[in-house]
Amino acid sequence: MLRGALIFLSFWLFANGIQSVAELPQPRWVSPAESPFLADEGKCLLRWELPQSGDASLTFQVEQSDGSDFSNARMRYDGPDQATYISGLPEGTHRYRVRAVSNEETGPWSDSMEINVEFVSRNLVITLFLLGTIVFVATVWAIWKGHCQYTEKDDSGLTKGGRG
Amino acid sequence: MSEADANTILNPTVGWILLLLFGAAWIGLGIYWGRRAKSFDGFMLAGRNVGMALGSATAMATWVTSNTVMLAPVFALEKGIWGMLAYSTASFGLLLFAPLSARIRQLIPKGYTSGDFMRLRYGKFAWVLFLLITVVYSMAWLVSMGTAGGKLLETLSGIPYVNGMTMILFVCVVYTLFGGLYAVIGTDFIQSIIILIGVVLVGALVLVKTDMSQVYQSMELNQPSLINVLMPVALLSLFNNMFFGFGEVFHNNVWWSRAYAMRKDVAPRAFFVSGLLWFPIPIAAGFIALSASALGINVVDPNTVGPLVASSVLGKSGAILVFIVVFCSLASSIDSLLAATSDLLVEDVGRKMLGVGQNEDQLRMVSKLVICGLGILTWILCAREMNLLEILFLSGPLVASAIWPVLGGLYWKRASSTGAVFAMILGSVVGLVAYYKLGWYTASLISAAISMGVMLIFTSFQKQDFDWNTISNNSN
Repeated sequence: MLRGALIFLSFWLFANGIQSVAELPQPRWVSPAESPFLADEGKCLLRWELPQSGDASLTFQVEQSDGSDFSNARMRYDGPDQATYISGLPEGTHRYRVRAVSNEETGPWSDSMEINVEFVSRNLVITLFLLGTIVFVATVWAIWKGHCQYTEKDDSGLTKGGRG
Repeated sequence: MSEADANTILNPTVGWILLLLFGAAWIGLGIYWGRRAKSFDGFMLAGRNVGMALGSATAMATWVTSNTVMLAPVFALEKGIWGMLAYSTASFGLLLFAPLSARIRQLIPKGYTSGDFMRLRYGKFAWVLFLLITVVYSMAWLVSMGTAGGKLLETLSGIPYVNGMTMILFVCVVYTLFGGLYAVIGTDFIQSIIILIGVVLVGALVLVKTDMSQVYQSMELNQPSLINVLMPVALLSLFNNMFFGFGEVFHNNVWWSRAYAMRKDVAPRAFFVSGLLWFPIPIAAGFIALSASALGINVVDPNTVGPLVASSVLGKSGAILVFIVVFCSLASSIDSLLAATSDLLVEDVGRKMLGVGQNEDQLRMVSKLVICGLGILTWILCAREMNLLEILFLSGPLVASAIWPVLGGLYWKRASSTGAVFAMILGSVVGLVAYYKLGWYTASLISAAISMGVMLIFTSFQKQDFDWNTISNNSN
C-alpha cells in the first residue's frame, strides 16, 4: 500500500515538473540594490545570490526584455558567474531576470530587475559641447600665439611683452 | 569564459617569475644608470642633458600608466567609439606641452619644479594653493596606480593583491632611490619600447582573431549606445577627459622636471613625438574591450576588462605579454611620480618653505628620505584598497583649474596673481559642484571653462606689467 503511494507520488511530481523546480533555489538580486534602478550612463552591474550557498556546478541564465512579461526576452548571460556587467544600453526601460541551471534542470526565475536608462538632457549636452569646443580652440590659440610671439624674435624671451 | 577562468590562464608561479625577473632587471639597470648621478642636479634632473630618444621615450612611457591599460578599455566598454577617442585625447596634453616646454626653458632655464615657476610668477599664496592641488593629484595618481597594478596582477596571474602591489612599489622605490632621474629615464626607455611593441602586438592579434562584423552585430544587439555617435555621456567625456589631460600635463612636476632635464632644443620635439606615439595606445587597448561581448566573455569587473579579454583570446603567451606590458606601464609611471613628487616636496616645501637642506649632500639625503616616505605612504593607502580612482577623477577639476593660470603665467605679462588664485579656486569649486550635481563627465570641462573666464577677465582689467627677468634672475 505504502509502496504504491510512493510510486504514485514520484510519478506525479515528475509529471508536474515540480521536482526540478523545488531542487534548484531561486536567485535574488544583490546589485542594483533596488528596482527600478536609474542608470544615467546606460550601464550597471547585475549581481545575484542564492538563499543558501549553492552547488558549485550550478550555472545561471540571465534574460533581458523590454516588456514586463518577458515575451520577447533574449539571453544576456549563460554561465557560472554570479554577476554580469551591462553597458551600452539605449534610453528606455530594460528588465532582467535570472535563474539557476543544473544539467537539464532549471530553477524558478528571480524577480524582475528594472533598469531605467535616462541620459542627461540634450540641451545640456549641446551647451557643454559648445563650451568645450570654445575652451579647446581658445587654449590652442593662446598657446600658438604665445609660442609664435616668443620663439622667433628674441631667444631669451625676457624682454618681450605678452598679452596686452 | 568567465573571470574565474582567466585567473588560471597564467599561474602564480609564472607571475612571480616574471615579476622577480623584471623587478631585478629594473633595479639592476636603475643602479647602473644611477651611478652617473653624482650631483644633486644629476639626481633630480639627469644633468639637464637628456636627448631626443630618451626624452620622447620617457614622456611616452610615463603617460602609459596602469590607468591607461585599465581605464582605456573601460572607456570603450562604457562609452564605445567616442570613449576610445576620449581617452586618446589625453595625448593632446603632451602635444600642446611641446611649445610650453620651449617657453619654460626660455623663462626659467635653471628651474627645478613647476612650483618654482608658480612662486616666482604669482607669489606665495598662488604657489601654496598650486602645491595643494598638485600634491593631492599626485598622491591620488600614485595610489590609484598602485591599487590598479595590484588588482591587474591578481587578475592576470592570481598573485595576491597585497603581494603584487608591494612588489611593484618596492622595485620602483629601490631603483628611484639609487638612481634618481637618470634611473627613471633609462628604465623608461626600455619600458616604452616594450609597451609600444606589446600593445600594438596584442591589439593586432586580437584584431586578427576576432570577426569585425560579428563584433559590430553583437554591439548593435546588446550595446547599441556604444555605436551611437550622439551618446550624451560619451560626447561630454571627450572634452572632459581632454581638459583633465591638459590639466595633468600642464601643471604637474612630472612633465616640468622632464622639460628641465631635456636639452633645450630637444624638449619641444620630444614631447610632440611622445604625444604622437601615445595617441593610438588607448585606441588599441580600447578596441580589445569592445570585442568582449562578441567573444562571449562575461565581464564582472569592468576595470579588468582589457587584460581579461586579451588573455582570454591570446591564451598563455598573450597573458604573459599583457603581464609584461602591465608591469612596464606601472613601473614607468610610478618611478616618474616618485621622483617628480619628491623633487617638488624637497625643493618647494622643504628648501623654499621650511629651509631644510641647504647643501647638496643634505638635499640628496632629504630627497631619498622623501622617496622612501612617499613609497611607504602609498603602500599604506594602497593596502587599504581605497577607491582612489574616484579620488583621481575628483582631482580632475582641481588640475583643470590650473590650465589657464599656467598658460597665462607663461605668455601674458598682464596675467596677475589675483587672477590666477581666483581662477584656481573658482574653477576647482564650480568643477567639484558639477562633479556631484551633473556628473563626473562635466567636472574638468566646467572647471577649465570657469578658470579660463576668470583669467581672461582679470587679465583684461588689471594693469599689471610683469617683468619676465624676475623669474630668470631668481630661479636657482
